[in-house]
Amino acid sequence: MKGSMGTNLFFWLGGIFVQDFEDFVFSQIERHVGKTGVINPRELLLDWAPRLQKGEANLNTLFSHLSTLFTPVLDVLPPESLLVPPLAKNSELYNLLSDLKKRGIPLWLMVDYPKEWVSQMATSSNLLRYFKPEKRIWFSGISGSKEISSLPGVLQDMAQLQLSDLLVIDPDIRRAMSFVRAGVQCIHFVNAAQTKRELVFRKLL
Amino acid sequence: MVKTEHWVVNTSGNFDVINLTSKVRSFVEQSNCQEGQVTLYFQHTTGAVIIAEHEVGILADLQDTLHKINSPDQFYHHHLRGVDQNGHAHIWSILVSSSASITVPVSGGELLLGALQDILLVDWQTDDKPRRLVVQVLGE
Repeated sequence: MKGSMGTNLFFWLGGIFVQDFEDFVFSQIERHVGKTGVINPRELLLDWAPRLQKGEANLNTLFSHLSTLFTPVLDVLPPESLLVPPLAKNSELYNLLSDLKKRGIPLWLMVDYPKEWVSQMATSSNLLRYFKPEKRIWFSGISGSKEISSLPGVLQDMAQLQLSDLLVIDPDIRRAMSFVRAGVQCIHFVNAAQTKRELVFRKLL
Repeated sequence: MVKTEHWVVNTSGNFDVINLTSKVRSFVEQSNCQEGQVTLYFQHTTGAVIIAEHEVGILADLQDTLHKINSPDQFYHHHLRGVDQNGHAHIWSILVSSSASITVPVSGGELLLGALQDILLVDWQTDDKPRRLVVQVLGE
């Protein structure tokens, strides 16, 4: 069964409403225990977000992993504050969502974080009132260039929409390029103002 | 007056794109420069600062064009040195005409960018180390 006709907007949760997973974890570590001194710290967390999403790991195992890398973290930082990124307090972004909702444009939220994070955020914010429950999409963890190139097809299957009906708002330029190469409209998210400019340009606002 | 700042920007390399427009605009506002120009200078040889419309399709087309001219997979004499494998990034940096620096006029305290112009850092390096830029406003 096909869904709504016309443009459907898909917002990534990470990098738009919350910090990117690795950025958040390492910003917390650096804030509490100083610079890690690791040349490429992202490699230490490679694949943890997908594993969490798939249920192959949980927050406790991730924290144990971090504690082996950064022992002082355990002494100064409780796990829950380390591992749940706060929602961005960005009124401009929420005004943009309101304007789109008033226009009747279907809004979808794409998430590749653990579901428990989103549940926690839902109880403490109004983010999810813009995205109907049936219009959220959960990804089971996609990373790496090969998997990213398959993302447009995965999204199309999950949303049950034509590629021409999709417009993705993506903070990751490599993912964004994969979408346009697959024929999906995409806006590289920088901030709400720049995104609004692009939506006006495309006559959606 | 002249005001100079040294910026460090974290990118993930591999054709990462960072929009610096708001940051440059804030720098000019804080400098109190009313009439003059601002220069942004990229202190590396494997990327570029460019003025372009920040539209994903254009950036994908830029990447496709550069790949057609110099594919990252082809042979590069630069690799004989054995230090790194980023010959394509060096050549792209040289080929992009405005690679090292861009200059934007300032008037009435505002950047005179066109409506669809953005200041973008495009990083072709093959790793994600921090990149250094110099930003300098000159005027009165």
